[in-house]
Amino acid sequence: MNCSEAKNELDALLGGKLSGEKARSLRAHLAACPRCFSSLGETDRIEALTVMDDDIEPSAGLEARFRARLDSHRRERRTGRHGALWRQLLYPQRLAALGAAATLLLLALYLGPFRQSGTEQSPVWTEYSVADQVPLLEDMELIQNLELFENFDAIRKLSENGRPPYSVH
Amino acid sequence: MEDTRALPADLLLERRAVAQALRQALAQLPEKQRIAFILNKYQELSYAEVAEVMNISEKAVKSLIHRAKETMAVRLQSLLPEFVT
Repeated sequence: MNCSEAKNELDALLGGKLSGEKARSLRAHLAACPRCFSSLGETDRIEALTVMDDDIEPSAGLEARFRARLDSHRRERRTGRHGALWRQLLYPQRLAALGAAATLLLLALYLGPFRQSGTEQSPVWTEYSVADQVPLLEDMELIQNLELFENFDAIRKLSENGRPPYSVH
Repeated sequence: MEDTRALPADLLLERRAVAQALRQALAQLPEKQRIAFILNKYQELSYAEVAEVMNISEKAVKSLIHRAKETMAVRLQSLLPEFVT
């Protein structure tokens, strides 16, 4: 994308009308072009900053920590602690909240890997991507001991099914 | 995915600093603002799509994201003054 195209699309981005590849491409240009970046107001500079929070290399030992957490989750489940938890969750309000959380979690896990369109995703990359989503989702208090957390096969299948369901405007 | 190991060390450090500051500012937002912001800026959904996911109006999404951006801009002024000001 060049500066002229960026200028033409900027209002649509700031008005929340762009999505997917177009939004990503414009944000990437704003982050890389000092002239376009400086034309943004203080509040709108965040548009450009968010793309810089995309390609961070996983920190050392991320996979080991992720696996350790998974093993701990499995051990807890074997010892029956989760049985008690699931019984506690069988209240309508909690079930509704859990359903909403599961939907958002699936959406985040499904859409996340497609942000880097055009790159071939190895299984290891997919796991890193999933792992990278987890802190954010936990921070949002959307996942608490969900069984989905360990269902890598299902998550991989989701990411192999092609483009995300939303359209690019 | 870009190979970040190929980036110059100073640029890589800069990106890490931006990412860390963003997440720090993001963590302090109210939940609805945080969800709307993440869906729009990180998952790249339009406001209409965010509205559908969160089951609220597009106008409400616009308001949530506007407030989130204002709050984050203030917080980022101290965390990343060279980028925001």
